[in-house]
Amino acid sequence: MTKLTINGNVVGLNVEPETPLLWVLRDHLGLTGTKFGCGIAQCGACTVHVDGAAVRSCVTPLRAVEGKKVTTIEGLSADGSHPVQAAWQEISVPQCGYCQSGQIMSAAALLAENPNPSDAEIDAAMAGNLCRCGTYQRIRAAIKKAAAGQADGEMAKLRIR
Amino acid sequence: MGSLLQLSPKAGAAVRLAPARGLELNAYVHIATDGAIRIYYPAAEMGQGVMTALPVIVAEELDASWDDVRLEPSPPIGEVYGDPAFLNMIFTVATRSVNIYFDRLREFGAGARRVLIQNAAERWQVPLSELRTEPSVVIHGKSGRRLGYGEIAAFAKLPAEMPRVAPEELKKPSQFRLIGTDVFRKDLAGKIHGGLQYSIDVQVPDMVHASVARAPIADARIKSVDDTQAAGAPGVLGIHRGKHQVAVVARSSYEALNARRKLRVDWERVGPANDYDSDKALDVNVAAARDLSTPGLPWDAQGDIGPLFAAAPEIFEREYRSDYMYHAAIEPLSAVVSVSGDGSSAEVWAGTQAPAYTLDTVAKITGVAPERVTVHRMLIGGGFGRRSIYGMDFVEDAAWLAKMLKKPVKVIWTREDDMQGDYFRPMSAHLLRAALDERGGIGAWHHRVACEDPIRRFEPLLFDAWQGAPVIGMHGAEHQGQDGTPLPYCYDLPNRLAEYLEVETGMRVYAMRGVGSVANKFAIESFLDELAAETGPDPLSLRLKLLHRSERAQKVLETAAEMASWGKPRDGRALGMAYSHHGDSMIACMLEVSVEGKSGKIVPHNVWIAVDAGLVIQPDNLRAQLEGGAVFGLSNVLTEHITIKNGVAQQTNFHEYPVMRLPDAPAIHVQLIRNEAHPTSVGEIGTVVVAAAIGNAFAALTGKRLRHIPLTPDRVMQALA
Repeated sequence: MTKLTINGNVVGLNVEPETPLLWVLRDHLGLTGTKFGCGIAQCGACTVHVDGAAVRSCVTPLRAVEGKKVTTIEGLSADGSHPVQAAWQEISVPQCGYCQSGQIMSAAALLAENPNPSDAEIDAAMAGNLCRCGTYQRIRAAIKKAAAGQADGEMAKLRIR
Repeated sequence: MGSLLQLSPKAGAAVRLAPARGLELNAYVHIATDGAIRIYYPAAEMGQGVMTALPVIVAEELDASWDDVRLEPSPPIGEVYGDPAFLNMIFTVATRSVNIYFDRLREFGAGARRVLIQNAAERWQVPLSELRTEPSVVIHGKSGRRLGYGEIAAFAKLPAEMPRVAPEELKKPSQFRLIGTDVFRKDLAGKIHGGLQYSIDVQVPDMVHASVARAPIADARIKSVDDTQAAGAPGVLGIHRGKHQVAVVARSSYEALNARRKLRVDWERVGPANDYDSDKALDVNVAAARDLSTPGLPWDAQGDIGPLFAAAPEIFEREYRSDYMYHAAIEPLSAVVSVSGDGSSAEVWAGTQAPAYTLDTVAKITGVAPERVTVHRMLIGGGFGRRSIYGMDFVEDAAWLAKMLKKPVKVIWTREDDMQGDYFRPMSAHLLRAALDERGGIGAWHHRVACEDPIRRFEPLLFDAWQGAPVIGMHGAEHQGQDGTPLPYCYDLPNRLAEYLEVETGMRVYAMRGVGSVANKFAIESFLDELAAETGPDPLSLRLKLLHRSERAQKVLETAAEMASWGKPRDGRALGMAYSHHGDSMIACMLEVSVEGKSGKIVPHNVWIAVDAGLVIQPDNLRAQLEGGAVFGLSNVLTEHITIKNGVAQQTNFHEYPVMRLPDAPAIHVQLIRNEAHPTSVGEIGTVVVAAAIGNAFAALTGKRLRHIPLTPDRVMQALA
């Protein structure tokens, strides 16, 4: 039994400890917002937070996160009002959307550590997240908007239909 | 309730629309009694924004409040929702959606509104002419009475035939409320919360998971399988051999993927692909393009160029090349298929650009009658052409296994499967020739393209329908409409020939964003700059002269030049330009680059794009398409190429196939030249135009010409040496 905290809930899992966290989330917990893209930490679609740091869950075995706090896109905010999500909404960043959970998690980890990143710091933090639709310019703008505290959390409480 | 099945007696799917009580006004509009307005969008959503842009067109003429609108993909019924150019199938390719659906969607939106008004008029016993609408409400001005669309849906009767609304009765652009302004994107929430499901996320009760080893090259057969290790891996339920594949089935996705890694399959490699080597093979294309004694299949011909070349005082000639490229959608291919216990019906969940092919594939493999197959059209995590292929290779294994195992099956491709099993953008060689007249003008134009057009081998139905026209490889080599219509916004080259030299390879090739235009426009635009350098005019004035028939096209080019301050000297950087028409849209770009001297890496800094796509439906989405298209194109032409040895792609994952990342992405400045012309599409032109400009930017900076895309650092270093 591996115990850890996922999105604020303590869970115990009877899963082979070598199983990558990505697949624990997707196969066992139904948290499919974290995406499979490459399996070798090259695309960033699987990015989650472990104790606040961005990690690639596709190469992180379950045993490595025992006792730790894992946050996925589903747990970043209850209602989409996290400043990064709010900025993503306002700038209309996603196209196909598939990579965006990972992008948002990388950006949120960056801003938690560095509330006012330079362009070079944004480059460094986001270089591991591929977007084949090419939304990079908007990603950069959204990170800056969130950093400047300009994103409107109320507006981002998203209407899902 | 009027149903789609009545509209379409040959409906190819079990149609289960309109769960809420209400009124099915027509194939595109359902209004629930609670006022929810369901709009069915035909084209597949894969990030290009059609699930917003197409319903906006319906909602505009329906006069619906966007807040009331719910979006749903239409059923895959070609007769109702299809594209006449593609055998009347829904076929979301070639940047066509807004262009082809615009008139139809307006008509259906206006027709639905007319039915609502007619019903209100009858209820109130007033003449039709006294009624008007405001968003989602019919109003009788004289009496002040109002009926919401949902209220009308509760009592309305459908006329036997949808009323016809004459074109002059449609809204004038000045009356538009939704078209031309950015509406709330209803897909954003799910994409920002992680709640949106793609086919790879679908869960069905009792589902099992499979990872499948497929033949690495065309025509390979299984020689032997060593599955002892795989069979013993945790969670494995079975290992199954098909004709060209071996499937590992397990309880979970990870267990299937993990066990699959332990599977050893030996393939018997037969056929021409077996010893295919792409580097050597490109020489074959080049030789074919060069060999003027062998005529090609004419693609775009006007005038008789032979005598003009024979008599020309000077002939200017250059060659260009392009490598294989990989689609690289971030969502790996996947599908779920479920067959009912008695085998009489089936369901498939897939991100598909061609739902009719998906349906047919499932029907054929499971033996279920086509009208008993339901296609759940999932939102797509990147398409770029990969998910429209006739063979539906990413669906067939799930269908095969679901039928055999009598359980729902999800098949997930690994990144390695997706990359090595791709149908690549074909490589090509181009010979460009101009017969120069006494003043250095272009007396005749000759463009020979040697490549393997994918249609013949991989789109059999379209190959027949289009009588063998090589529409993918030759796309963009024409200077008129593809149907032969003269278009003023093409370069005026009165004597010209573009011809196709087929090169058979046995390789898997297919359409990829921008199709042949990426390589053809790279060749054409590079050639024009080379010609300008040879004969004197500035690249801008040369193009403006060639576009003298179209003020719109000239304005596009002039706008881009102005945005970028064309002609202004830049320290350590230089500008290259390109113009393209594509899918009836016009685009020009100015691309600013520098080169890292030590590594040979070309760094794009700024892209200025001006575009005329006629009436703009969703301006921000249009900008987003051009921004993203430009990144896709720059990625293609700076770093991306697949090399093939002994028939097998040598790249397996993103560490070997670099795709543009955020630090390398330039600033992209887009200006929309808006007017009221018929709206055209922009899904591919951004990709095409930057590819066309890259060689010119490099040449402007270094004085050296690169003629082979991608312009990788090693090719740059070679050129600079």
